[in-house]
Amino acid sequence: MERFKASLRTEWFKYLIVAVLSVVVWVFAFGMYHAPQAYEKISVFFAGNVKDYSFEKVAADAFEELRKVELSSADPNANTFAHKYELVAFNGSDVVILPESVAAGTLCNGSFVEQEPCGEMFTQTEKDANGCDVEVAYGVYLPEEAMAALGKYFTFGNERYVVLIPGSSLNAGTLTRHAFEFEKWLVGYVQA
Amino acid sequence: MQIVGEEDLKAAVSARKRLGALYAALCPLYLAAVLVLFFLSPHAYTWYMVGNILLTLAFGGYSVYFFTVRFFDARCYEKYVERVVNAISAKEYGVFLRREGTVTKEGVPFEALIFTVRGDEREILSVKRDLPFTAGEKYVLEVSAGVLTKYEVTDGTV
Repeated sequence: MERFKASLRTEWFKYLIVAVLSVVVWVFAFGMYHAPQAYEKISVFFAGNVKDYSFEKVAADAFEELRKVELSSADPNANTFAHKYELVAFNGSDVVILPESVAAGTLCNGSFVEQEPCGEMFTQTEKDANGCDVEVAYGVYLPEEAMAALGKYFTFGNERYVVLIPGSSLNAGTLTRHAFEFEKWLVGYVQA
Repeated sequence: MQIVGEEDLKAAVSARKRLGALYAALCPLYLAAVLVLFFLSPHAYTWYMVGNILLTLAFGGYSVYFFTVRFFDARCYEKYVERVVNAISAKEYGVFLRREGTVTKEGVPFEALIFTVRGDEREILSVKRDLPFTAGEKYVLEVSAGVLTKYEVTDGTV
């Protein structure tokens, strides 16, 4: 015991390194091993300000098959919005919530998934193979009640908001259809 | 009386190997335990992670202690015995004067003994402590690399 105490005094730095490393390595390893897979999480991009990130837990708890819901946001009036919108909304998100003006200013063809009409749809006019104008539905408008309920977590502006699903999302039919289920849940969201 | 010899070298080598084998046996046990906890952990893994951290702290702490104290001491002692056994030894007559406490050289603690050898005071180290030397008595000392390896009491007539 005496030798151990003496060793603690003289070799304390080595014991400290062992202690720090054992915590860091295992926290990292368990974090990596149990990190939610792409099909177990939904990333939501909101064009506006998020008031309360507890929405992530509320949303994750609403779906048995989801382990994580990630929120990211960007203010449409900020200079960096266009960059973040392109980078995060199109390439790293499963569900995108946009003000109508932003959605209307986006070329949805190729960026967002075409959706089956259900409820009040956000559409864009496109030419079909014959050169005729057709209305294609890319998103669903958030109903007033849902916006009122979601207002606890998000700061909505004075216009209507649209929920869209990026074509890059793995949960839009590639791995799962969780993005559509999430969209449906959002549109029907009523505060408990 | 023989203090250090070939037998001690064999014993030192086998003691060092025994320690190494003990550590080598502990390694897979530790690895198996942490891997089982790691791969069997559910999504709510906090307690499994705490278990692995504690196991690693214990094993890592023991490893530091093992390599800086136990194995280090065993290795130093083996090297010392090897050097003493292989060095050319000299036989001298000396009169014991006193003990001068502990001297640590290359990780091995010795007892420093002061003898009068050919009229001069000389420090001779002994790895065994409290050898029955009597002050003023004359001894035949066999010294190898500055360390006492053998001694005999003389009747003073040599």
